[in-house]
Amino acid sequence: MSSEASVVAAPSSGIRAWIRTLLVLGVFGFVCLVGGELFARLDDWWFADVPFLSTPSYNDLFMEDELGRRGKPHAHFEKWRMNNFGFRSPESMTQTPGPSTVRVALLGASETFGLYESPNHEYAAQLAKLVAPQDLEIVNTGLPGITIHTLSDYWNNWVVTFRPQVAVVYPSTHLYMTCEDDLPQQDAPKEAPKEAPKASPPPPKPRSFSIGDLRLIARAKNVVELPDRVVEWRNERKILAVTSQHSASWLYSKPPQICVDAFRADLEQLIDNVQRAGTRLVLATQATSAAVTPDSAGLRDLESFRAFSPRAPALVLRQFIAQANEAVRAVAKERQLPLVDVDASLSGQRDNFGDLVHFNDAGAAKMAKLLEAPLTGIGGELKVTSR
Amino acid sequence: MIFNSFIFLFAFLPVTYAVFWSLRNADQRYVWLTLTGYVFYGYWDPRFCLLMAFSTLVSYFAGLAFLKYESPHARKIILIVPITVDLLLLGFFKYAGFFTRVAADTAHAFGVETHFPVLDIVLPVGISFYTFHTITYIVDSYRGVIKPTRKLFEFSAYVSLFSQLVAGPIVRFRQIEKDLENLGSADRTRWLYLGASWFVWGLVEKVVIADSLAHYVDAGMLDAHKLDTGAAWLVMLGYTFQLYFDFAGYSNMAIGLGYLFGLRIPINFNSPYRSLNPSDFWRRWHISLSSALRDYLYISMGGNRGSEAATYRNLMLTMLIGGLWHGANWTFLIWGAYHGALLVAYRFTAPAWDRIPKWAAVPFMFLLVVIGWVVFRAPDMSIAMDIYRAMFTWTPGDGLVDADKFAVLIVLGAVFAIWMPNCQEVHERFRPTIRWGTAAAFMMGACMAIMAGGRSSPFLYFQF
Repeated sequence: MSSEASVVAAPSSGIRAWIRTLLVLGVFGFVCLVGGELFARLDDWWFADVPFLSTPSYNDLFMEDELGRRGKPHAHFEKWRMNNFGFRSPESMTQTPGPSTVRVALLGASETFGLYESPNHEYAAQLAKLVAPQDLEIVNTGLPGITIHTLSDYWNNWVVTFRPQVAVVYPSTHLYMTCEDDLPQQDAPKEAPKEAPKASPPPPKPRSFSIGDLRLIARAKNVVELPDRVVEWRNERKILAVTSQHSASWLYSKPPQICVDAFRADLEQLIDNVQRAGTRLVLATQATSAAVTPDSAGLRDLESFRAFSPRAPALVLRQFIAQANEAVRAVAKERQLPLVDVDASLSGQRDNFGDLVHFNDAGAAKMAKLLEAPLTGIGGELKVTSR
Repeated sequence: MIFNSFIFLFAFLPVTYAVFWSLRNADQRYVWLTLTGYVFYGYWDPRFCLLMAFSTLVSYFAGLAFLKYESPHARKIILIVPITVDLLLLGFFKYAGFFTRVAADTAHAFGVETHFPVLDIVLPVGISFYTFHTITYIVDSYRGVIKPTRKLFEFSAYVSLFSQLVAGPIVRFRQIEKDLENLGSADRTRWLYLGASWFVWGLVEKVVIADSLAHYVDAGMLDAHKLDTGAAWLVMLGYTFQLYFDFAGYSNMAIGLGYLFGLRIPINFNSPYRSLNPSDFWRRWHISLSSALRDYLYISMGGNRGSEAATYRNLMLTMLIGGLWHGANWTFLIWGAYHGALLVAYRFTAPAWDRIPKWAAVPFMFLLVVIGWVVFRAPDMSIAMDIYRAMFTWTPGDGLVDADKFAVLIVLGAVFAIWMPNCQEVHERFRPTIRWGTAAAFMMGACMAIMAGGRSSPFLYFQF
C-alpha cells in the first residue's frame, strides 16, 4: 500500500516541481520585460531627451500648418534628428546662407530624407562632407512621401525662404504609379501611420494603451528580422486584399501613360517654380535595386513595393519607373539642365539599396559621389559670378 | 561574436550549454568546447582559426616533447623553438607594420630614404591573449610547474575556451587544470546560479555603465584637439571609468561563463581605483596580465634579486613590454614607460609613500592613473599632447554637449568603482534566492533593451 502511494505521489510532486519552476521562470521573464521597458525609456530619456512616458513615433518628425507639411524643428525619433528649421541637416544652419557659402537644397522624398542609412550616412550628410571644403552647404530638405506635385508647394511655401542657390531634384517616380487612384502616400516607413499628425490644435485625443506603445517592442524590431518568406507572405496578403475587390482588367498591363504625363507636367511645373526664384537646378533620375530586366532578387524588391501600388504588377512598376526616368532625361535635355543619371549608374546594384528605392550606407555614398562633381562645378561658377 | 550580442545570448550560449551538459564524459566535452571555441572565434573571420589551430598544435607538441625528453639541453630547445614560433606569429600580425614604420622613420631622420612595403595586416582578434596562454603553458611545462597533457582536445579546449579566448583573463593551464581534468564529473547545478549572477553583473558593467560613458567619451575624442580644460578632464575621467567597467565587465562575464561550464577562472580586477600606490594598482588591475608579466618576464629577468639598478631596469623593461603588448603604437609604449617609472618611483620612495594617509593616497594614485590613460586612449602622441595641454593649462572652449549628464554618469561610475563592493565581494555572500534572481532578471532585461537600442559596442580590450 505504501509503495503504491509513493508511486502515485512521485509524479504529482514532479508535476508540482515543474509547475513551480515554470512559475518562477514566468515571473523572472515578466521582471525581465519590466526591466527592459523601464531601461528602454530611461535610455531614450537620458540620451535622446524623449519624455519618459511619451509614445514616440516616426511621425513626430513632421508637422503640418498653414505652410503645408514639413519637418518639425528640433524633433527627433530614433536615428532621425531635425535641426532648428525642421530639416535633417546640421543644427548650425542659418535662415540665409553665409556670404561665401553656396547653399544647395536637396529636394526629394524618403530616398533623400534617409531611411535605412545609419546616422549621418544618408546621401545628403555624406555629400555635405565631400563638398564642405568648397564652401557648399548641403541642406537635406527631403520629406518622406512627397511627390513632385506637392514638392512645388513645399518649395514655394518653405524651402525657398532659405534662399538656396542650387536645388537638386531626386524624384520618387514610383509614387506616380497610382496617380489614377486616390491612394495615400506610400513610401513612409512601415511603422509610420499613413497620415501625418497636425502640429497645431486640435490636441491628440487620449487613446488606450496598445502593446505597440512599448519601447521594448520597438527596440526588438531593430533586432528581430522576420524571415523573408514571412514578409513576402504578409505582402502577398495585403496585395490580395486589394486586388480581390477588382476584376483582372483593373490591373495594369503596361505603365499608364496618363501617370507618366502627370509626372512630367509636375516636374516642369517644379522647375518653373525653382527657376523663378533664381535657383540653379540639377535633375537626377531615380535608381532602383531592380534593373529594367530584373533578376529574381530585383523581382522580389519590386513585388514588395506592390503593397503600395497593388494595381501595378512588378514588371509594370519597373517599366513605369524607366519611362518616368526617360521623361526626366528629356526634360533635362530640352531645358538644358544638368542631369545626374543615377538610374544608369546604380540601378540593378542591389548591394546599394535597403529595398527597391531606398539607399543603404554604401548606396548613399555612391549617390553623394555622383552629385559631388556637378555641384562643385556649379558652386565654382556661382562664386565666380558673385565676384 | 561578442558576449553582449543577441546571437551569443540567444543562440550560441544556450546551444553550447545544452549540448555540453548532455555529453557524458570529459573527452566529449573537450571536443565540444574546442569546436564551440572555434565557431565563436571564426565568427569574426574563419581564417583566424587556422592561426589559432597552428599555435595550439605547436604548443601541444612542445608539451609532448617535454614529457619525452629530459636532458636540459633538449628541454631548452623545446622551450625556445615553440615560443619563438608563437612570438614570430604575434610579431608578424601585430608588430610588423609598426616596426617597419619605425625603421623607415629612423632611416628618414638620418637622410636615408627607404622603400619598405606598406604592411596593412589585419590583426587577428585576441592573438595577444591566446599567444600568452600557449607561452605560459610551454614555460610552465619547462619549469615542471605543470605536467603537460597528452590529450590534444583537453589542451585545445583550454586555448580556445570561448569565455576567455579573445580578451582574457589570461588563464594559466595550472589554474584550471584540475577543473579540466574533472570536467566529465562536473556538477551542472553547483555553479549554475553563481555563474549566471557573475555573467549578469559583468553584462551590466559593460552595457549599462561602460557603454553609457562611451557615448560621451567617443563624442569628446572625435574633436580631442578642441577640448577645453573642463571637457578634457571630463573625457579622461569618463574614459577612466569606461575602460574599467568595460574590461572588468568582460572579465566578470568570462568568469561567470566559466562557472556555467564547471571551470573556475581566476579574477582579473579587484577595485583598482582604490589602490594606494602603483604596486597596489598592478595587483588590482588586469591581475592576470600583471601576474603573468611578473612571473614570466620580470622574475625571468632577475626580478629584484640583483642590484637596485638592475631591479629598476627589470621593472622598466617589464612595463615597456607590457605596454607594447597592448598594441603596436608609440602611445602604448609610452604608457608602459610611464607605469614603469611610477613603479620605480614607488620603489624608490616606498617608505614615504606608504605613510600617506589613505584618504590622500587613493585620490593621488587615481590621479596618476588618469594621467596615464590619456596616452593610452589617444590615437597618437600629438592628440595625447593636446589633451594634456587642455588638462593642465587653462584652455577655453565650447565644452561638451550634455556635459552635466556626463558628469552625473562619471560620479555614478566613481561610486560603483570605488565605494561599492566589487563583483567578487558581492558574490562572497552569494545565495541563489528569489530576490537575487529577480534582480538579475530585471537587469538582464535592462541590458537587452540597451543592446537592442544599438548603443552597445564591442569590448575595448578586443583590439589588443
